[in-house]
Amino acid sequence: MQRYIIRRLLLAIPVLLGVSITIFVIMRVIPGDVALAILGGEAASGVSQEQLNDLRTQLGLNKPLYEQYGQWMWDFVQFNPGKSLQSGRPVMDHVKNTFPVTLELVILSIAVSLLIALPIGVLSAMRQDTWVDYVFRVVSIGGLAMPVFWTGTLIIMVLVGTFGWLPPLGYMGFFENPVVNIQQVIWPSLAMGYYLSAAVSRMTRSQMLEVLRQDYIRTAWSKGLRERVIMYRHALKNAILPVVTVTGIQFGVLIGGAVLVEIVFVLPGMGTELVQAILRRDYPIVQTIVMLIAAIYVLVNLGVDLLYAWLDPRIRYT
Amino acid sequence: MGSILRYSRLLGVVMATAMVLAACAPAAAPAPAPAPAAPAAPAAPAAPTATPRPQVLPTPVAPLVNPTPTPGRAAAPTATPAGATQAQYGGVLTVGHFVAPPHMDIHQVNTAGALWAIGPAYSGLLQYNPHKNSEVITDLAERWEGSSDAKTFTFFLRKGVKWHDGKPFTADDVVVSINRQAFPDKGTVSPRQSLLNNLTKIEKVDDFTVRMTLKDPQASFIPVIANGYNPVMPKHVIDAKGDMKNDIIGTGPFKLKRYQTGVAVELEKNPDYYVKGRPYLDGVTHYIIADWNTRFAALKAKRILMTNPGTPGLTTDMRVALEKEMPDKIKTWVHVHLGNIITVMNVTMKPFDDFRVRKAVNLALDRKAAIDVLQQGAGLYGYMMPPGTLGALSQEEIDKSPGYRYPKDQDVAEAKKLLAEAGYPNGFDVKLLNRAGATFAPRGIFQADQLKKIGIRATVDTKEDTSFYADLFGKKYPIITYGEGETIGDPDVYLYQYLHSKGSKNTSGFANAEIDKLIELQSRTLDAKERDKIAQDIQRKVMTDHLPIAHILHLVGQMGAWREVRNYDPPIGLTNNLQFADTWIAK
Repeated sequence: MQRYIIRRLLLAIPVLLGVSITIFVIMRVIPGDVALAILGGEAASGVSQEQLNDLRTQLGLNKPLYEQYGQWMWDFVQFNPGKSLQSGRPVMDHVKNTFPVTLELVILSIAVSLLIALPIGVLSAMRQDTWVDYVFRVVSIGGLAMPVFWTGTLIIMVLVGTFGWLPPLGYMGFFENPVVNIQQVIWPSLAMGYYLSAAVSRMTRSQMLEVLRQDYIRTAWSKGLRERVIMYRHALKNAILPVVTVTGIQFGVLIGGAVLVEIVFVLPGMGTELVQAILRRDYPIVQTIVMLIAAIYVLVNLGVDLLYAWLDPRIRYT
Repeated sequence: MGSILRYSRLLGVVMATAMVLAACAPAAAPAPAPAPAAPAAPAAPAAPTATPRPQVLPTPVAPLVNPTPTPGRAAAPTATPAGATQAQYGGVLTVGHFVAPPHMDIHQVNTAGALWAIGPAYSGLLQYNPHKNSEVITDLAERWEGSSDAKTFTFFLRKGVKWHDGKPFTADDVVVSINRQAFPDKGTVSPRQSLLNNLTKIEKVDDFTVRMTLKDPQASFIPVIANGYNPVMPKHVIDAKGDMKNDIIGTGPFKLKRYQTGVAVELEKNPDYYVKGRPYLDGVTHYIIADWNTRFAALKAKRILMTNPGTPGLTTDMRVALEKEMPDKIKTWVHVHLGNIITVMNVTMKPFDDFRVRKAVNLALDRKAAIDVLQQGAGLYGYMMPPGTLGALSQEEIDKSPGYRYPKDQDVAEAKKLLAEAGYPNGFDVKLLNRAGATFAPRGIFQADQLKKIGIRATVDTKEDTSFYADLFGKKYPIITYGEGETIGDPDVYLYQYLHSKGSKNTSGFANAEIDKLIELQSRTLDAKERDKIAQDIQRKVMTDHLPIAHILHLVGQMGAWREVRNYDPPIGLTNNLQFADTWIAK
């Protein structure tokens, strides 16, 4: 197992290298003048060509691309990915401020989605083709069909319209003020969790249906075991593997893709930071965040594979 | 597996508890609860298609400063009206802010997104009267004098004023602040440099006196100095750091308490503010809430006490809903925005090098439909100068002008005829540049729809800001539809910037010696009536013979605040009345 883990980590290096080259090239290919974005934007009418050229030289943007890439990668591996082209502050400051917010949101959202999806999936399978099954399937499809930002806006409207209340503004970390923090993240987690639960519940249901047809389940019934024991101890255990995979993929997607929920619920997360940086052509921030997301993806995939081995003793890695 | 189920049950209990805690948490009120007061008159709801009227608030308790009259202008009244409520100290004003500032250097930024959040920390030499927006009054300058030829202005500065870091304010700070805008060095961008083109030098006479010398008389010079994008900044910080992008150190009524990137700009009371007894508030906090609906919800739930002014404040639907549902709790305003939506045609590119084609585009535009579709019925139409400002053409004249007549049949028929004469009987295909964003994108789409009426088939290229502004100022498109907010309602802004051959926002490539001369003449004309006439004549000539710009509409701002916010009047435009020095919260 140790050799397997080491091999996977080593294989991650070319993956991350490929991601770094891709994002570096993409950012330089998309239209829009970086120097103009930094100096001007709407104020572009006040910017002279000389100022633009000076800034490009100052930022090293006039160097050959391979040299720019090499410099950035060298700084990156030393955990010093440079400074924001827009604000001049270290990129790590931007990441340190926003990553914990997104991480907390994602973890809570995944937890909510599992809390909703697993019981629904199991019950749906147990009561296949009954009204219980139909209701839960409609609820699942609703989660898939409704855009998460729309669900979020709906939650806000209900909170304000019905209770005249909204979560406190001004994000506070959990260790800074846990009560305010919970008030601020619970609602976006619900919106996101509901959206995520749709795929998980449907996967759970279909896997459970497959497992429930197995001989060992019939044996369990004939042994007189209680339904609950059969479902949760025997059936779900064997049906859970694809669910773990889906959840792992969702984790990776959410880390960079929670921007809409962050905007609706006023959370200063990494998704919002990434979108703003892309719009401003703030290369160092974009490249760093994308690399971070890729690294998390690689680690989550490894974690999922290791979890497989723990859940199913028949799986062994060499 | 059993342990997983146990953990999931435990997690479920924790989540449920958290939800109960969140639901049961006391509804935090960001400001003291209002004491029972005499019911205020509910705001008159504006008819969706009627021209909106600015709402008037009670006259303030006491004026902020003692105004000094400039040549030809009357002093502001200082008497306190009978029955005015006594101001109260305390409370933090919370404002819903629509965007995070790109950085903190007001001189180098061109978005009100930065200005509003930081503005309360700064003062200028002069300011617009927060309670009578058409009037300029003193601020860091306690008085000023203009020479008889109106080419030299001497500002006498207040003594004993301190920067927020305790250093003394002197004339050196004023010299540096004006110089970096009028004569920026490398690495400093000055979006409003063209407004100071006429300045030849600024000199320090002594520690508390500065003198500014102009090449020619400039009627708009004092309003330019007074506008909110022109605060005085500390020389010692600029010298040390090169810019103010990461610092907020001013002389304003509030100073920086905390800036949480992407979350909020928190300012606290400046105990050393040079106006004794001010500010009344303990602080001003701008919460950054990008989503419009969330900002609206935050206002209704009293998480914020006030919205931004301008178009990021409220939509018409939101304002009308507030006026209907909460008239006794929230007051709303419709105010002059000084922003516009225009279609610029590149006169150096075919087919818009032909005046007949440009005129056809102008004729086809349905301005009233634009107001309904793009601004939900809240807007004004005219030509370059906003209605009510110096040089604006009268509504009566505008309504009779080609392109503004109703019903539109006559104008559309004439437009088609002109296109045929110009060699385009079946119209033509063209690419239209449009700005991306929920607020901006519909504008180009609307324009394209209008062009279809006369056979012009426009493909809308919607681009986000970085690409949009590069293409706009690079003059890469034959036709562009977009909007801009302006600093002051003056012909030097609207006519010079857009229509003068050297105007910084002249993206049409329009250059006409006669129009240039007239624009320069109005800028030097000090008599307001004469200047008004010249500015109107310029617009008539441009509309009749040139039309590089088809003007769609003038924006109005809509905003709201809880009624316990007192003594605040909305600004004219978006760059003034930023300090909240007179504002207080009723307990």
